[in-house]
Amino acid sequence: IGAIELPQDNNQWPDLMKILLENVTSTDNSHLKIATLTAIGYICESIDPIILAPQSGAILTAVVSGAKKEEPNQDVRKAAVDALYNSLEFIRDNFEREGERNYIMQIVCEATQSSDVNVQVAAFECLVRIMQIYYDKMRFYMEKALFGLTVLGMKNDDERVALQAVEFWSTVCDEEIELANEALEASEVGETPDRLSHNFAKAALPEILPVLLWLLTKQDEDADEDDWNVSMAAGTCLSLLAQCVEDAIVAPVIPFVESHIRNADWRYREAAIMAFGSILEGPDHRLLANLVNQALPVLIDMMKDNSAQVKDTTAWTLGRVSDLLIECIKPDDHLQSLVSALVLGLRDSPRIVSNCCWALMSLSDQFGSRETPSPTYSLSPYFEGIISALMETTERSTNESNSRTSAYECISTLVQGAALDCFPTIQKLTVTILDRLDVTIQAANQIVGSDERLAHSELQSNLCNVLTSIIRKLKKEVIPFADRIMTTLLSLFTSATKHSTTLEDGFLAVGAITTAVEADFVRYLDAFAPFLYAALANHEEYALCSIAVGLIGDICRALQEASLPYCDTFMNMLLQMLQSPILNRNTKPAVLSCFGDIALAIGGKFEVYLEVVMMVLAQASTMRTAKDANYEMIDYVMALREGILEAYVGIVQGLKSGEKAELLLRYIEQIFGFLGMTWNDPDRSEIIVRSMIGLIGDLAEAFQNGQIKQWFGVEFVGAALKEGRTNRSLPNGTREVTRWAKEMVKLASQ
Amino acid sequence: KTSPLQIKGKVETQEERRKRALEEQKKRRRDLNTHARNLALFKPEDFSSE
Repeated sequence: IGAIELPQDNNQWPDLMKILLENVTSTDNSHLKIATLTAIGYICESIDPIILAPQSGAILTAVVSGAKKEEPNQDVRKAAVDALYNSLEFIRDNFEREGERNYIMQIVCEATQSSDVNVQVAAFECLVRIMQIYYDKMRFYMEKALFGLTVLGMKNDDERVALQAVEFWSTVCDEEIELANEALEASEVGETPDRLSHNFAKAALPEILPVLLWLLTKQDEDADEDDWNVSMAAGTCLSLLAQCVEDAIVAPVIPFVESHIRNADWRYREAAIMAFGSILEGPDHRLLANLVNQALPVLIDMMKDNSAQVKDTTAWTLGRVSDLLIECIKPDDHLQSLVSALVLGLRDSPRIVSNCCWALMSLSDQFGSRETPSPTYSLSPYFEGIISALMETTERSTNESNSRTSAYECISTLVQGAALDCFPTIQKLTVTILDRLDVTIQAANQIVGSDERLAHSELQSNLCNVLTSIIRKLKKEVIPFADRIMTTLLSLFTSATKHSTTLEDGFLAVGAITTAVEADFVRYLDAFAPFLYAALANHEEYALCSIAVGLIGDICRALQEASLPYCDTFMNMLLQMLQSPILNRNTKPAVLSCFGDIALAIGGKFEVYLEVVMMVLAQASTMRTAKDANYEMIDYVMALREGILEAYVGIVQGLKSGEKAELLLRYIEQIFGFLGMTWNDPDRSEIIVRSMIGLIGDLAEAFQNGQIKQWFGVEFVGAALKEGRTNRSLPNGTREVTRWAKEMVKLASQ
Repeated sequence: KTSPLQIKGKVETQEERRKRALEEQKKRRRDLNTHARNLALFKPEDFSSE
């Protein structure tokens, strides 16, 4: 209530803080003190510090007095340390003053030594937060106290204390990784960074690393994947430490790995592999290459370990190697044994399955190509075997640890990266996937209960996702399967509920089909249109709506002028979406782009829609960001402008191809007004600059006889073309489009 | 917080699938626009006049 009342004009509860502060200083009632300190903490956390600025000194004094070691009641002390935690942003001004900062730090450090574990945990939580907010001011305290306190804290018998002490060092690493990135970015543009790293992690490495490695061996045998314990915290911290100190971590970790990887106790074997896997990101690849080469045969062999935990971590480490150090995997030397080990893992427990899938996906991403497929690739000899093992895994009845979804995801990824000599396997897979989809459709009526419905929907999504990857990969070679695919998808849409994500994934598969069969898609459109229209009208489901809008674009690109009979309905539904009070606004930019897709497809026939669309675009152009707008709003306005630009590009190109460009003459001022306003907005994105240059070129190309040449002399046109030519950070294709636009502008300005 | 092993797992979520589809549609739109521009830049008559 205080957080609502205090910020009101004329503070609606003027004596609240006075009462609370009196409670803390003048009562012996410890329950009252605890409740009051909690309330003070919540208020300080919730409101703008400026509102209570005049009382901030008194508030801090009250909180700190409760947290002092002289406070006899440890419950009161814990409440005071918690209140201090919640007030850490609030007391920013106090923290800026050295004297006050020293005092606060002294109180928190003393609290870590309390006899009460709850106070210790709260104090370490405070230190973690202080490190996050006030890293720049921590050098003195690190040298004097924090370093020693946290190393001791990590060794504390109570896991809650140890967890916070490890978290402290994870936070230090997080901050220093961020600072290193900032320094790199600054040096790339020849500037000095605003903030400097104190390199605490590097300085502390000899002290904290042995403790972290020791903590890795403190696994909980029955830990669930959702649990969090000290060995997991240590693994995360070690991985951050490796990214932070880079090469320096390698030499001290390797002896631990070597001495424990063959240990009789599974805890030590698992810890050794976890340590090895954790340091694979950060150090120089040249430093790691030899080590990984030596380790690979050992790791592959350990996929047969008798401990599930060891196999789990081994599979994860193999995934890390495949993801981060692919150059260490020599196809002739390692691939056969590696793939065999991972395929064997696919028959193991669900967690191991998920990690093996991740490793296989990394191998596919690294060796395969999503673009033009090569005739063959390193995974070709194993492709059919891997797919077959994965399909076997997906036949399990449960999706524990996301294993079934991971296996389908893995199949998708393998298909995306496959080479031409894998196509026969992919074609066989197509039939199996369609058979499985058909079975799920037939089973749809027998589902009882929401859990079963969710699992069924997820399975259908997985299958659709694989199908989409197959269609995109096979391109024209999917045509012989197109009738069967569309028949299955249409049955799927008939059986799916209005709210299921299956519809979304099914629509994505249809989108892929349109691109593969192109104009032939007209054969399916009458049967598919009712489902598309229903999705476009389903404004509550904005994600489905977005995909449906994208599908209109796909259909128009595929059918070109043959999409004309459907355009009246498309246009009406798109315009309704723009007026909808329910539809999520993030769908609206895609609707605008879609007008461009329609115009491009039907060319001069777009004339009938021109007036209304230009009016809509003019309205959308009035959307601006306020000075204090948040990032979300800025992103939205930028997306809207991108959509407007795509619409104009489609319309200009479409009308030009239909020899109706002169219809645009009455809108030239509107278009250039929008371009000028967008150019002058400092928030304009690089994509927007590229699109703007393209549109300027399209307009110049459409009016080559000098009809609008005065507009090409406007200052921003020259500035945009110059930017496109000289700014190397602009996205791919900008230089080409600029070269073209310049040529067109030159011709149109004569 | 979850196990470091789980953090590294990689399953494409629905939202990522949507984003990827949207990106691919954008790319196809851009490719088509670029194609039209290339046709304009290298008109058939330009080739015949050479």
